[in-house]
Amino acid sequence: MKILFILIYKDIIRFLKDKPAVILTFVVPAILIIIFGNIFSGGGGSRGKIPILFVNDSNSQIAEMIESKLDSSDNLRIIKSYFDDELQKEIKYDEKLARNRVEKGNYSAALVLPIDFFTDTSTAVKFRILYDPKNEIENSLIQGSLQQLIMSQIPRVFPLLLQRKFTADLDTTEFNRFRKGIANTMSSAFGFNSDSVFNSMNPKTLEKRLLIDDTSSVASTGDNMLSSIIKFESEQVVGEDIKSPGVTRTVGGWAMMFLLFSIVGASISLFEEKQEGSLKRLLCSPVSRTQVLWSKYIYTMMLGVVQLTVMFLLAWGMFDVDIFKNIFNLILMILFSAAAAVSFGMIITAHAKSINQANGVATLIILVMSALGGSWFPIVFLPEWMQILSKLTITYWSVEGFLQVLWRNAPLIEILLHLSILGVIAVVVNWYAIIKFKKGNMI
Amino acid sequence: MNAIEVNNLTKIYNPNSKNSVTALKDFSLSVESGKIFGLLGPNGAGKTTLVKVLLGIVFANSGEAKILGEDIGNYNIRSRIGYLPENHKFPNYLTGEDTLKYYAKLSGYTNSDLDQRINELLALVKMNKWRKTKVKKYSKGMLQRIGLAQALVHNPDLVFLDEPTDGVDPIGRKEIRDILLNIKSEGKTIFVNSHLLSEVELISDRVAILNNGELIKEGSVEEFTTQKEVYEVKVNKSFDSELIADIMREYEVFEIKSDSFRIKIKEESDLDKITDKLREHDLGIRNLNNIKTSLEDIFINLINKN
Repeated sequence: MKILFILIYKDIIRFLKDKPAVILTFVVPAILIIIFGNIFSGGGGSRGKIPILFVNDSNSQIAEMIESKLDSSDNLRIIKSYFDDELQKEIKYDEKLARNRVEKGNYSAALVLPIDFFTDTSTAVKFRILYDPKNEIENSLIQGSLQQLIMSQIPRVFPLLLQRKFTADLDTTEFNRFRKGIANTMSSAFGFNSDSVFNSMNPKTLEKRLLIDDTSSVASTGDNMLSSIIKFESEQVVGEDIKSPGVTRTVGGWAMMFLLFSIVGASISLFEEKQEGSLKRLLCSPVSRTQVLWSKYIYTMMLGVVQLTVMFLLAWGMFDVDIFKNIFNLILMILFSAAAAVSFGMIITAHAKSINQANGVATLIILVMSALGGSWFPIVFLPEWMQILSKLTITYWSVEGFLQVLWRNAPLIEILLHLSILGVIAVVVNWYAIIKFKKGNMI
Repeated sequence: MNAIEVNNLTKIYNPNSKNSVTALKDFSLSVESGKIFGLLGPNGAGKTTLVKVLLGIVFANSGEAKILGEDIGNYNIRSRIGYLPENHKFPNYLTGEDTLKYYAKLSGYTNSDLDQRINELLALVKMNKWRKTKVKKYSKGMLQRIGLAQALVHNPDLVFLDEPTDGVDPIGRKEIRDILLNIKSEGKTIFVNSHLLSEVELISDRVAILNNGELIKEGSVEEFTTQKEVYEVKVNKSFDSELIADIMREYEVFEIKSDSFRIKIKEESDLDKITDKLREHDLGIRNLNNIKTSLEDIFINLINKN
């Protein structure tokens, strides 16, 4: 028995000494659980609300009520205006500007209550949702939340709309005959006062009642009836012509995650060369350290570019993702993403003391960056503080950039920010790695 | 001319940390061109660090060093240097022949006779038969032979060899020794870093002993192994204890046999006095030899004293 304990103790010590194994066993799952937990549990109420634009051109009170309900939505954050730096004041969004912002990918959707949303003569309420389904889950959540919220408010105007519809279809004499018939039927069958029933169907009375915030009496009205008097107009403003939207949306994220894994593997081959002694032999050749590091950098970069190219070609060949319609910008994104990913590999190599340490730390960071950066799911589901963190990851800027290029067919100007950030990361980190390598700290 | 000149070199690993290690302490050394120089020292003495600094693998904290008249910071000089690292491994997808080609090109060897040079070297290290075999299939001895060939492939003027006979059988060691002596005869300088003192003793012209990052002693093998003050005296017939007692009054005498003894003198004129004493006792000198000790004994004594 004592021997058994000694052997178990030996295994425990061996495990604890193996830092990468400890990281992969406890730290990686713990961090991923925290991230997923925040998404699926709502992060203790701090989960990020999805920002959507809201344009209210209507003067009706029901539009105001909907706006007020949207303001207190749990899922949506309503943006109605922006601050104009030149004019130094808040500018309210109109439909044209909202459409432009959705097209550019600044927001995923805009809800427009047009000027004829609900007027004195409306026989139906009109909504317009302008949306960009760049992410399926996010889009479903936006549309679902909006419809649920609007539908919960509509029943209060339902009788009025119904009455107006009848008025529009029938003339006043026929409508009054209809009211009289109903009043008499209710009086004879249920003992109601026929005059008060008749008057309650007066348009003026109905309009007063709809302003009372009590929808319970009509909330059970069926959706089928509502749909005939609610004009819910959804307009996809981006990506309508995309043949394979699902793959087009996700290919960038997955490609980036696997790129990071392969790049880190290639970068830390410096450790393998160090361990096998060939690095020592290399360094005492008439070759400068900068040449050694650049050769490693260029090789890894080439590997990254080839890998990304193969993945996008696969997406094109197998899923009809149109990679050629914006090929110049796609190539730029591939080059800059690969450069930034290589710099990530270099910084891991510069700081790790062994190949095992490098592998453990890299796996942890890649998985966290993939989760935070939008490779797995839209970052809008993350708590707001995590959304801020996500902007510090290479993955975020690459995934967003690929989405701009493939989904939105964005021109160069619209991916300049993404390219610049990836480029700056690549230059700064590699410059740092070169300094460390030249000082001999990576040997 | 000196092939290597080291002046006041200091190398401290992790200088700003609590766990800093001083590998070389104000170390100075010079190695004459065309000679075989042996660097000795116990584990952790700083031998490998010195080689790494000289080859630009790590950087010194202070001091300066020159190789073949050039500052070690000038990496172009390394085209004239060959290096066989300790426990080296070559890219395992290469054959022996490919390995030599790769390192020749890496070392800047651009001559058109590379194939011929490789043929000669493979014959020299007796690896011709295995030239097309991948290095991952080589035994340790074979790796050492191909390693030696790669250190020489670009015809360097200075060769650093770290444990060159490690893992090689006795016949192979003899062959390597012969190769090194042959290279030396071509005017090349060889810097050997080894634990095998007997090997170093057999081939080196000069030797340095390093301990705790400091140079303890440097000199020719002859100087190291010859104890100038100890002589063995053989006489023509047995002597009595009275003679020994007489000599022991003035000198240290040991290893006394019936017709011989060893004596430690202070100066050479003492030899004449001892000869006179022997004659007084009617003894003739048959043999008078200066005693040599092995490098290993000297090394152990020096390290223990240090």
